[in-house]
Amino acid sequence: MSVPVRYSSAAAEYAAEVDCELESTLQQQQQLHLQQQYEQYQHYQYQREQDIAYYCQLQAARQQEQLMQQRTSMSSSVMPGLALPQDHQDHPAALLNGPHNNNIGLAMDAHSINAILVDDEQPSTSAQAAAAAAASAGGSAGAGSGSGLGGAIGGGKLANGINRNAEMPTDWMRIADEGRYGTPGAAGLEYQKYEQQQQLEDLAESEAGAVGGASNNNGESSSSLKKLEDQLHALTSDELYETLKEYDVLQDKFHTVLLLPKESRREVTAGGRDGSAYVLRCLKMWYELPSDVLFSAMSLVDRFLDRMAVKPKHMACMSVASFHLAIKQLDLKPIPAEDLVTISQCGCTAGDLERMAGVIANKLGVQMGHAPITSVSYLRIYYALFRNLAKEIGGDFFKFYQQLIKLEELENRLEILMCDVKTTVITPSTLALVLICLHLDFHIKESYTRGSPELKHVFEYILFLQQYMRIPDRVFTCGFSIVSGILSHYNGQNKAPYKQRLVWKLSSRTLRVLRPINRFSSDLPTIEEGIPNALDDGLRSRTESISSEEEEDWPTSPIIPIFEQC
Amino acid sequence: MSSGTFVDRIDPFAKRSLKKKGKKSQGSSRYRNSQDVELQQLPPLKADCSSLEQEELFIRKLRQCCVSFDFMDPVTDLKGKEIKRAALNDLSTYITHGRGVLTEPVYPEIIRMISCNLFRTLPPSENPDFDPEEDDPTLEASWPHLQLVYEVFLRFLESQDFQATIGKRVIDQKFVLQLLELFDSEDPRERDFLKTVLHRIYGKFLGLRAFIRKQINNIFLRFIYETEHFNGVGELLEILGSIINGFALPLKAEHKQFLVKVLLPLHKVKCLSLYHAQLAYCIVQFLEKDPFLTEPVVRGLLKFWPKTCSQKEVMFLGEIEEILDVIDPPQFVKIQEPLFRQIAKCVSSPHFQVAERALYLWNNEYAMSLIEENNAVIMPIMFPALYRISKEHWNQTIVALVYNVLKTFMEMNSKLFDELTSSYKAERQKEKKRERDREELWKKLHELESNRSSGRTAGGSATTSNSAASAASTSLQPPSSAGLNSHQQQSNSGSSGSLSSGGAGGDNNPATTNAKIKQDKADN
Repeated sequence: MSVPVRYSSAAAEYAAEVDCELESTLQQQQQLHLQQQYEQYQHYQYQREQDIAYYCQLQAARQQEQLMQQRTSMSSSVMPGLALPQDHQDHPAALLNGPHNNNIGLAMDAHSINAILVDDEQPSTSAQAAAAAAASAGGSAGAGSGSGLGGAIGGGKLANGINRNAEMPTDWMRIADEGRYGTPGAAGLEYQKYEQQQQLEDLAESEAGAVGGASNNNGESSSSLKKLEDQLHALTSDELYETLKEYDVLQDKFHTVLLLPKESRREVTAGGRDGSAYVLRCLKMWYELPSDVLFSAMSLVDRFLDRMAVKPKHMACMSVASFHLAIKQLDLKPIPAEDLVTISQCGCTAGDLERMAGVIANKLGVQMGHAPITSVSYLRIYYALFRNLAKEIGGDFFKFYQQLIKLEELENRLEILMCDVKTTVITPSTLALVLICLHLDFHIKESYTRGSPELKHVFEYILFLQQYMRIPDRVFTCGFSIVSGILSHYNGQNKAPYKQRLVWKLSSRTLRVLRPINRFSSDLPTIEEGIPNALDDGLRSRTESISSEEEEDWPTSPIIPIFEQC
Repeated sequence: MSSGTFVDRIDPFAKRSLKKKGKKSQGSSRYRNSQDVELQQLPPLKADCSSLEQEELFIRKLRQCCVSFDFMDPVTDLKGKEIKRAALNDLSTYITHGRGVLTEPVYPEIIRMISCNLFRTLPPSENPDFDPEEDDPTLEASWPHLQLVYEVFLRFLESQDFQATIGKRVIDQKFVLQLLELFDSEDPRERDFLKTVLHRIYGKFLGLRAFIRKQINNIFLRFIYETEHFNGVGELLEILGSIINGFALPLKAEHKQFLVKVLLPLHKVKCLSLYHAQLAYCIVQFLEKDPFLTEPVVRGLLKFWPKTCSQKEVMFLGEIEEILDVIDPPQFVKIQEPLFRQIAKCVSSPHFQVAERALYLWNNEYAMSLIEENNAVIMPIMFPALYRISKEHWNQTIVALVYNVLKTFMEMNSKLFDELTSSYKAERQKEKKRERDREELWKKLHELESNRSSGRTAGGSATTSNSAASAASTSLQPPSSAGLNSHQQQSNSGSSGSLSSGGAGGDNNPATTNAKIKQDKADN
């Protein structure tokens, strides 16, 4: 008898949430959206009465699972670095409940997969998934944790509400938010994640070899973007998820958060760092190198800045040395140091560059031949995952994805983001996910109407990836704000905010014939039309030059400031 | 700079002439020495007093100075030369410091003296291949006196006592025309004085201005389209610079026509380097007066753009920068596309100085601001050339400059730059694919050719077949022949039978045949 009572209480709480959401919708959303929400609510009410008995049997298992997930989520939020221990703790729990849990999980996973793939054809299945999610939530509240746990949940909801109002998320984020509040998609994503984890655990041994191969392929693919894309296309989602897990373990090693001053004489400023990044991007363009070089170089630059007190006058040499080192690190054909010094105008000698590269390698413990894990690594995985999703969705959406979502474009934009120090406050995995979400959103807005059924799967998948990567909502929202600002400046085709003062070397013969009027000096006064020169002096005298010429500002000083901030 | 030094050492234009003469040559005009006149020393003119006697003395000295001397022979008539030199100096001082000394009777005397000394037939050039940039000019031998004559002339024109109303009676069109002819003098010292003199005359005599401009036009047109030789183009342009600077606004149609019909074609002449500075100054003055002239000027320059003379091309680029420095932004929009298409060609020039000078335009801050404002138009024009020579140019100095320009473009508009890079690479890949397709096509053609050769072998086989056919035909002949023989035998048998049937009837064979036919018919 206690079980039915708890479930009823949970149902009541869920109904209250829906009512609040409905009121909010009335105030903020369009009529059409309101109607959709109301229809979903009615559908849920009907299904609840039919399936209440079925879900009672699963109550105990779901309660325990939900509690563990909540603990994991809270711990991850507080201490992101402890991801591995949390994963390890999950494993024995699964073993303890192995037989029963596996059976239940498998059955439910099958339903959730069907819900994702054929949502329109089997609405009842979607309703069941939503009911299951509601039941789990209710069960969690009724498990006897007390008012403390309830208060925490309430606080989270309130925070989400504030975020939603303050940040004014894009359309897809609004849909995503709705998904988290009881639409069928949320449950589907949850189960898909669970299913993926199960599969990964079961296939751990067989994937080991594949992972090794993937790693080698990743190393080889840096020489050709097309070759890389082909390799990415050949990977299955399971392999991609496995790669993501490996990246997640390593990304902190190659990432650092930089908080640089805007103005300083003794320290490298944000503008100085961004200007250096831009110079490296120009070098990457000039030498037609893959994007990996830029990302590896900037990883070196940022980590070195974080550890060492670099003087502004050494920034140019340090950044170009990092570029030089990154080329070696990636096993690419090295560029002569003399050439790098000449082209980049970093103001040091080739020997200085080599020594600086050695210092950086020593301080950061750089391993040659090993590509660092950077945001572009994640971006490629996400690109392939979304491509696989598009292939599953099929039809026009896959054509849309193939034609409009270009990895090259994404990498270009990621390079632009890399040239702004503000992006260092976001982890590479988050940065890459935010970028591809914004990119998808941009093209979807131009190609699809909002009500297209394919989009539901895309937005659900975005939510899934966010949860899979354990990216908190507030971090994701912050990332959107930063990335949107930078890309809007880029898309507006505006001038870069930093400018390197370039040295122009000309041959002496050309210098002599630069400006013809410079060689011209007239001693003849102006003769006004129609007026005789009655005011001439009696004595013949040479007048000053009529032309107002400015001397050529030729920078000959060897000590020239390399970067100026506008 | 070491790179520059090295470049200078291999630059053929930097070579110094080996034709320098051991000593300067001097030419002299044919002087008129119709009578041997021995000059007598006259007392100096007193600047402090003005009297009839001083006027008479003034005139007497002027007449003395009409006598010419032979300077080709340094030792001839030294006394007379000295007396004239002293007299000229005295005249110059008197005109400068005297008051009220320029009385009306003096005007024609001064002009007569000047005409006697200055107006002469200029000697032909001793060096028919005279190159003003490399060869020393032939200097005027009588310069010691001529210089003083010019000084007197200038003092006269610039004197506070000078009255244009009196002067215009003696300084007329004929005088001006003769003066203009002297601008062809090889002696730059003389041309410099002429420049100042003509400038003063133009300034003081309103009535002569139109005539002077017209005659200068004639000189320029003859120079451009006929002779391509006139030593004083630079000096005349310098005078015009001060005239253009004073043109009233709005500009008269005559002046605009002068710009289009005379000044712009002056860019065509081979020896442009002698007067390019003055010419560019005139052009810029016009544009500062009327910005709407920018478009015809730039289009004119593009029309006359040098194709084979790299030195001139460098000059043109320098003038383009002068124009960009004074251009109005709306006018820049009108000419940017054709202009930067030409600049893209210059950037791609295999001649390093042309490429270098073109790339250096991006060092100009005002030009950069114009390019930045219109980057959506200019970047697509420049990008292919810049990208191509960044990989291909033989001169490393050029390559470094290209990096500077590409970097400024990246800073200007990163998104457009990325798009151009992507499309350029895609285009290159398409070109490579087309090349591969072309090679495959040729390979197929070669294969078809090989197959056709195999076809000829099949033709031989056909010949063999024909031989076989012939053999078959030959083998068929015996049966045919045999048949024919058999037929003949049958005929012979028939004849024998007829003879044996009756002796009398045997003589009438046709009757026998007819009888047989009748029998056959009766049987039927």
